[in-house]
Amino acid sequence: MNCIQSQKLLAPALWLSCAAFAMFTSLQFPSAKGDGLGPGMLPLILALLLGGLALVDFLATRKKENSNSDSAEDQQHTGATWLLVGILILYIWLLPWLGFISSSALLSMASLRIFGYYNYVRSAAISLSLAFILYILFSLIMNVALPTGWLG
Amino acid sequence: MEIFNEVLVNGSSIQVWVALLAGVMAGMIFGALPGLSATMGVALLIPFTFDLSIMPALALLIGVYCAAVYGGSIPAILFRTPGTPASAATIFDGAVLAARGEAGKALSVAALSALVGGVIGTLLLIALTPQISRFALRFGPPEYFALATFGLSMIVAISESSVRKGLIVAVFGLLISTVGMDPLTGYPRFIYGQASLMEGMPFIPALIGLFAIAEVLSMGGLKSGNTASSESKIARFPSGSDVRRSTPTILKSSFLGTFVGATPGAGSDIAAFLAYSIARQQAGKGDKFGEGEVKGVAAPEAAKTAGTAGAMIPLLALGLPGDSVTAVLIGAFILHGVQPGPLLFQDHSGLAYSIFATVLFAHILVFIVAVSGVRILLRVNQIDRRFLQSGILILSLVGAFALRNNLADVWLALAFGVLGYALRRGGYPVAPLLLALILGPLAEENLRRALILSGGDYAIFIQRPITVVLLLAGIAALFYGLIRRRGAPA
Amino acid sequence: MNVRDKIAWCTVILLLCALVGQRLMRVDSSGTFPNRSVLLICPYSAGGGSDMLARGLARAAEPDLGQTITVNNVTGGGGAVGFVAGLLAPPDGHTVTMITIELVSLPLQGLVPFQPDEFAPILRLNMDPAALAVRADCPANTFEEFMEWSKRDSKLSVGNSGPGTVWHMAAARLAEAASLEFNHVPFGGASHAVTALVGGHIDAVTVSPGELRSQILAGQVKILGVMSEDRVSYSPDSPTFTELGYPLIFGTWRGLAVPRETPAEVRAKLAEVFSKAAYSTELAEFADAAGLNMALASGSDFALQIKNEKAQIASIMKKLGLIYEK
Repeated sequence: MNCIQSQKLLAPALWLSCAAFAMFTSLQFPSAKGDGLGPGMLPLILALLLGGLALVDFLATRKKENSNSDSAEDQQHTGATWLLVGILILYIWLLPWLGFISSSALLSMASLRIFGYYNYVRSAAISLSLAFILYILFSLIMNVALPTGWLG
Repeated sequence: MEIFNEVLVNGSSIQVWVALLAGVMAGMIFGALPGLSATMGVALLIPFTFDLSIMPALALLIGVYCAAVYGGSIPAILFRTPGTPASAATIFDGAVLAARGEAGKALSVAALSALVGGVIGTLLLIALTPQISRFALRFGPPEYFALATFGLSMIVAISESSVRKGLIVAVFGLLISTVGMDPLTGYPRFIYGQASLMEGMPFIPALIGLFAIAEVLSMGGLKSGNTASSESKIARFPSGSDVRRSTPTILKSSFLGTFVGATPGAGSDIAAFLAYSIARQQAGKGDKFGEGEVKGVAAPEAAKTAGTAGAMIPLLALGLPGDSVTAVLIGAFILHGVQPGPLLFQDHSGLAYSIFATVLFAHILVFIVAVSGVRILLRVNQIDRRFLQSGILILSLVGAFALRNNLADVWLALAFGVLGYALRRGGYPVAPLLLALILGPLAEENLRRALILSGGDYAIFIQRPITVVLLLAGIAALFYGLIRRRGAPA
Repeated sequence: MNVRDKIAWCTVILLLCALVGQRLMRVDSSGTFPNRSVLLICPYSAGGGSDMLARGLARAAEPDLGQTITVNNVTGGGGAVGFVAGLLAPPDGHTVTMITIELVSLPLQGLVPFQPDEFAPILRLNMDPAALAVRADCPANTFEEFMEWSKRDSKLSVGNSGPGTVWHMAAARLAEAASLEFNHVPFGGASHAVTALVGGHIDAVTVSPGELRSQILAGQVKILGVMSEDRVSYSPDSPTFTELGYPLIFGTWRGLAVPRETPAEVRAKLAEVFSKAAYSTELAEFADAAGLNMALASGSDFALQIKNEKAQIASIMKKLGLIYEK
């Protein structure tokens, strides 16, 4: 089995584990009262259904030849995508400590760099302006209390 | 005649028109910004109406309501970011059109369909309020379950290339929609101590993640640069044949939207998704849904604005709100000394008809503002894609936060963003997931509520005419979809 | 260096100055309370009764406080998210939380990481009693006839606003007091329950009279009994349950609170400012129009009430099977 095919089987495997997890969790829900179904019955049925469909998907994917593999461009982007996800996790984690304006400006600068924009000064100017505009729009005009922190 | 005079007097007041225009402008902005809903727009503007007399106050709020529902489609088409839940169905084809450089066409079709939907909905509101409200009241738990089931039967139609993958995604969506406190026993399911999930999976962060953040993560359109800007000038307005082709869809969706909007348990969001699914189910030979089909923009747009008019029916006729926006509107009406309900038509029929006229003119104003804004909006195509993507990223994260002022929703949006990206890479369609997320709670809640009412007896679903019709229609739609698939494998 | 880069430099410097300036302004505002704007957390979404009360009160209290009061809807978890946010805020009086009966009922279910006594109540604002209502064409015209109907017709379905909500508990209390048996049907909010009642899908509801007002005035719904000391002004013929011989006083309440650690003088100042606003005619008119039944009480009385209700609510919830042991 080559690499691309095992990658293709990842999705059905994930669905299957998700179904198994939901099934075991919903079996622990309390039993039914008024309606005869209770909190757990429908999640259980759905989990079994998902498990069944995932098995079918698994078998169908195994049988099929690896006809449409990802294009080279897609593969190239994957690294950048996961880098961006990592930066986003850092951003949401920083938000309450650093405050909205400064952390958003930093996120914007980082994302511009990932998107392939290299002029740091202009990137900083755009990012700061964007953060300030959103701050004014949401916080001052629309009355949304954006997180405030150490700087802005 | 007296009624007519009163409407005329109200209509000739300059204050009313200024308030309506201000409401429409503000509503567009509220709708267009993700995370700021029509509900929040109306609620935030209520204090500004305290010093106004009754008609300008109501005009302002109705303007906000109607415009916010349309405004959500602007970012949906231009940035793949739904401004409101109801505009999510517009993305499937609207954003594809925009990516092809036909954003102008998509926006004007959206505005036109919204106008027709709004006008038809309002005319039905004026002519048939008592009849429709009586019909809407017959919707109890079994009927809502049947309606949701009918909607879910469209999954086959909206699963793009593979029915198998569509079903997997839909079942997964239904499973996610059971997260949160069980609506009937209060038992917390799959929440692991997260209070933010107690009320169920929040829909707007999910939408923002699945569309906006997933799009940014897939780094789409960055390499192609600014090619869209020159073409978009040519394809600004829809051609005559586009309009002709989508007219039946618009009309059908408008009627559907009005009725679904009028049932107090459903609303514009569900109306838009149903209309999109049905249009797709009934796609003709030349229709290319999912690849920038004009009908795919027209159907949800017409249905959701018709839905806003429909939602006014139980509000005015019964004094009962159908969704959160109309609940806020009722509060505002009462603050201004108007008690919606059957008495409104008996004692203040002039006022009632003035409200109808306001709704009608609000939709017309929305159209005028929307169409004149298309030219300005198209300028976004001249902005560097890289700046745009980074702006969309932050705006969508702020939107997820703003909904409930809750950081947990931002995490959820990111999680859904990764999910949306992974689904796209794996070739799984997103539309069935959304349909399941929007209809899942309606289906489960009402199935079990109906069973409580019947004491666990399933016969309740075959004893009521509306329920039977809807369930049979759902089964028929499912088989029709499967047979068509077999006949013409796409 | 071209012109665009120069503009960019200027923008960066200017905005960084603005950022630092905004930061310095926040540090500078020390001194006596209140030295900056006060945040009023409303744990329920914009447009509801709690939100209207919060916004009306904020508007009335601003001039006396001398600072702006911003209402912030921190919603989710049936109010839990807002309560947590209010407790996590620095206890300096600049964050005030609107508390409701859910502050007592949520911790009992064991789902939230706080206890009601972590808040120090400063003022009770409003109380809405529960009312038993049926459709206008219902054969039962009095509570006695309702009881007969209920005993004859096995189990009546009584709608409420959701499992574990105050109106669910109200129906359970009524059933207990009058030894009836109800088929409790939870809906997603009081208005949905009322809609189902008007549509004939359920037999009765137990919600607040305010949520029934337009239906009462239109003659679609009638109230058979109210769980309060006084009758409802717009349904003067409907008796209270006390008059009927069932001393039931039950309903929801709303008030203001700050975290327990807040200094006493700050609490006193907040209580003074907000009670003055709450007693003003401006707010009375507003509350009347919004259908909110104002019932003001001092912080200490309010704290006592919360303490007393806790045991009561715990026993109802246990009977309804709403307390899940982990």
